[in-house]
Amino acid sequence: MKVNKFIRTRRSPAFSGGSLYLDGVGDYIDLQGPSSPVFWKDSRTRHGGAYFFRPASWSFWVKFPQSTITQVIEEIETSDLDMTRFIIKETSAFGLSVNAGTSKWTGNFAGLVTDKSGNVRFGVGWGRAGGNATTQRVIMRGSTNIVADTWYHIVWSSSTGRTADGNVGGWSTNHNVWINHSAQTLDNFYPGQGTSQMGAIPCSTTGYGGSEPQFQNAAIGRNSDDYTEMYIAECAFWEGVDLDSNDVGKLYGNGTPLADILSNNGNYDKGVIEGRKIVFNVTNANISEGVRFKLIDHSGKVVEYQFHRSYATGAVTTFAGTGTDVVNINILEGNGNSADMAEVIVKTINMRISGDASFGYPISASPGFQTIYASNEGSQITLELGTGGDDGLGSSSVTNTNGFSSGNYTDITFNSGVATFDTSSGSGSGQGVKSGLMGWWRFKGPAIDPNVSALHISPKRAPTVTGEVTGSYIIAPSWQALYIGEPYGLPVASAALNVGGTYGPDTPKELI
Amino acid sequence: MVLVEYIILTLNSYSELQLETISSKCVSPLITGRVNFDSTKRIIKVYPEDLPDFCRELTLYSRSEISEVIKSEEWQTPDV
Repeated sequence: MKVNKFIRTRRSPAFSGGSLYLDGVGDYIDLQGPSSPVFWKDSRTRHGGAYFFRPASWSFWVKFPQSTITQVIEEIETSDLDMTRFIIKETSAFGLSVNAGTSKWTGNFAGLVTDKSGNVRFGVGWGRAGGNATTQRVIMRGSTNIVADTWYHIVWSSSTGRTADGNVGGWSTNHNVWINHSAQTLDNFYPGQGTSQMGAIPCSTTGYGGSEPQFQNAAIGRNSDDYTEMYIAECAFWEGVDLDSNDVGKLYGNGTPLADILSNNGNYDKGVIEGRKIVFNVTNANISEGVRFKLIDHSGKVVEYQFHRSYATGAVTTFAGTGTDVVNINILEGNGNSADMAEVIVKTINMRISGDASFGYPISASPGFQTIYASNEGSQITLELGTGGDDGLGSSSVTNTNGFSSGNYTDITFNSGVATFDTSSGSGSGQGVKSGLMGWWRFKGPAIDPNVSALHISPKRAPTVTGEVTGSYIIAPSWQALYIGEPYGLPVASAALNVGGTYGPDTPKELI
Repeated sequence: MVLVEYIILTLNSYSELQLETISSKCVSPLITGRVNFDSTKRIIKVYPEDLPDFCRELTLYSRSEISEVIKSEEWQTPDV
């Protein structure tokens, strides 16, 4: 009888494609955070005043050679080092660092640690700038032993996402990890040199909302000079979404990855997330001098807009009739073309450059991430409504009531012919308007050139309204726009850059 | 199984044309190689049998050997 039959590792899953091998010497994946529409500043936390982590989820398949397993054990249990082998580092993983010399722990990250008894475990963490001490970060390790030459499906989901870091429960209480659909019991991880972690630190002041933007130099397989030898496939990121066990089970598929995660399938319902929205066409709207409309965000903040010929788009003036501040939209910028006019309207609603309120008003000023979002396809405008606020659950709305009718203007008519509110599908699955599958890197092989991996981008919107475009890109507001050159045009679909990694067959073979 | 090994290139020792030749023979492009602290050297993955003649005298490292090399200070880039 062969004893080995009882200790052999699980057979590798039957991937439909391949995977990417990172050699642990110099290979990594550049997720191009600052320039990719996949990641937004608000992906993880609401900046500027709120105290909660927004839901976000990662899913990926990884396999580690024995050399990595041995290395982790040696580093942590023999040399008393802290986490050194990173799988994902969302911030400051290479190159430009926003915190010179102190960025080891900035942002959210995942990697390998041990249980201090010779077993390697998956770990997730969050940290801040300021040094390499354990007090700069929190790391929670899972309960499944990670062994060599075995594929693992790992899902890391920030649960609820509304709990404040340091205020209610702390970062470490809001995360779920599944390994091969097995829910992990998460325990604090302390390396040999320390037994304390970062305490109650509001993320808004020391995390992303402060001097540490998220997804700045995000990478897979690298954090600064520390590289991880591993195979990776089918990596995906959801924003504003915490995957649940049902989703994870479907994604895992008992070892066969779900082939299409862009669509809902059985228990997996995070491929398409529908929220409330209103769709209208500029050609059906009354856009003339003095016509106004208003938007109300989750916090009750009302922003009024006014079509005008004399004021620059984005200029804020006080309406003489009521003393109300209004954001102007210059009709002449539409050039008499309804599609151009729609674009100007969308720009005015969305635009917020580095908090500069001189150009329009941010719809969701504070607190909470953006909960009203405008996009257009030609002359058709879609206003999407999400949730947000202090607890992440406040509702937003668009109104076309006659609330302003006492003045010498007319409300814009949203419901003229083609405009309808879609309230039939759930709005509770995600938070904010940009909730859903944001990135899917299959790592099956080069898509464009040998250095670029295939990238799929949601949002994928089901055409619940006749004529609505499905799968179109949402126009990027906020800081992302600074990087794509076209402040209110379609974002550039930046792919994940494969820096040195080697694409392999279905079950990757060690090349050396 | 295709053997992959590593070489350490001192960039200034080669002409641009030579570097392009090396890059075309590498497992992955030259620009993806890990750089040393002052960016004068790169670690490149190569198929040894494909190396051009002018690289024949370079030391070939296995992955485990190169892993030891990169532990030195020279291969720790400054955290800028």
